[in-house]
Amino acid sequence: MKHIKIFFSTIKENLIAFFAFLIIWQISSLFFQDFIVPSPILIFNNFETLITDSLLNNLEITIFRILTGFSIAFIIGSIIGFLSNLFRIRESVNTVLILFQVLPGTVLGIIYLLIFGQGNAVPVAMIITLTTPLIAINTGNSLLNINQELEDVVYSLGGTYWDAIRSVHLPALVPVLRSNGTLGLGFALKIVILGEFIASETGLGYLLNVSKIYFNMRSVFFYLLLIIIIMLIFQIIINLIFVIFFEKYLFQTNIQ
Amino acid sequence: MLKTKNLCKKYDEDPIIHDLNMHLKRGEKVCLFAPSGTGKTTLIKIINGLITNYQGKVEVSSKNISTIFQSPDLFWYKTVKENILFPLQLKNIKFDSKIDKIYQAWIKTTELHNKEHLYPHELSGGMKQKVALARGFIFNPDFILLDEPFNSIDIRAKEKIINFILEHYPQKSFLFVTHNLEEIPKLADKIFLFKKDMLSGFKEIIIEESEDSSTIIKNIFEELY
Repeated sequence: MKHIKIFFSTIKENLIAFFAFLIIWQISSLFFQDFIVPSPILIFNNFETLITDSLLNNLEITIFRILTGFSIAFIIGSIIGFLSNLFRIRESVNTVLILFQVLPGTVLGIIYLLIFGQGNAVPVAMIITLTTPLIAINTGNSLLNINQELEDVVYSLGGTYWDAIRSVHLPALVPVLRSNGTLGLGFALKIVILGEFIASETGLGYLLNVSKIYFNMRSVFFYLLLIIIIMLIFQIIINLIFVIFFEKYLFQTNIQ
Repeated sequence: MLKTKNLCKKYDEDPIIHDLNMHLKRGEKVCLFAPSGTGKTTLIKIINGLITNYQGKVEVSSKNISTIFQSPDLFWYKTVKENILFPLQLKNIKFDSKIDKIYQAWIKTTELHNKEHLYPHELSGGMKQKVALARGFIFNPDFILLDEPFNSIDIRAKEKIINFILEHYPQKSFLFVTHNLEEIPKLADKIFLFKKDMLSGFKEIIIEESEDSSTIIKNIFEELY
């Protein structure tokens, strides 16, 4: 019952955000002509012509790239962040990670295009390179708030270093993984579009690029809307996974 | 049970404990009374091994020690029951009928029945402290360090818990740290009285069984002022 309540509350929050965005967009479109900023109503009215088989194929390819790149970045980034905090080398590791994070995506895209050629590899490699540092830094910084007194409790009761990791550090990681999920997926989505823009002839980013060349703003905004919808769906799925399977670990924020 | 010899501890260059020589026999219940902010918690952490960089000697004759801290520090993802039984998991002690009996007795004394399934964020400060107390005693430790563990517990519940401890753990050694005069007579049979700080020694006061609470408090008060 509690889970169902949280399920609907999560969806409600996301839908409110989505509708707020649509309202802002609708209001903004009043100040421009349709061929510059088409209104969301116009986009919705043209849904049938905009949704094609080719679009669905490209959408599938983009989602595959996001999930592949993000999964790898999520695992590597979370491990780096966790270990850097555990071994108290967070500051040094962050310095290195920030260097990677400031790499301009377009430059990286061109380098990867030269290395891998066109296809899945460039967007996926770009997601891994640019999202991993973000996730690692977020993990390390969030784990800084680990309750030292809880570790003291473990040790004072005769617990070992491994007991402290198992009872304090790993459970504290769960809310961090959730924020890594929502933060990282949004970032991965932005990067995949850039990667497909630069080095692919498939995917949503490629379609956006083609529409941009012909100034087909109706398609451009339609693809943007799709990107936002995908992001919202991802957010809902991640929140639900954590709320349903790891709910008790998320109480950490109001501890003691 | 506990012996400290010329124990010294500094934070940066500021001494907080100086030349402390303390002796606590097995089964003794000692109350360490000192004003706030004088290093009582530091001393507790030295005794239970959480602080290791100090000068002097600390000898504890048992490894089966429990510490109940000032703040309850419960595991946020564990229920009341899981928090209380947590030490068993660390010490590989099986939850059998004997442990269950101790557990039920603690639950009854702390009035936590019907709350066993709740998580810490659903409990009041006093309830959390009660859980921490039960957790500290569940594995039947030989030596119990209590660092002002009754701060957020109301008088009636405090009385009940103290009586329960005295009744069920008569052979155990206690080092009970407090700055609350009223708590001393109930738990201790000896007092280490630090007037100002832990730098210039302490006065040992033995509590006679015949002495009533008000006499003991009066005596301590006279020593202090």
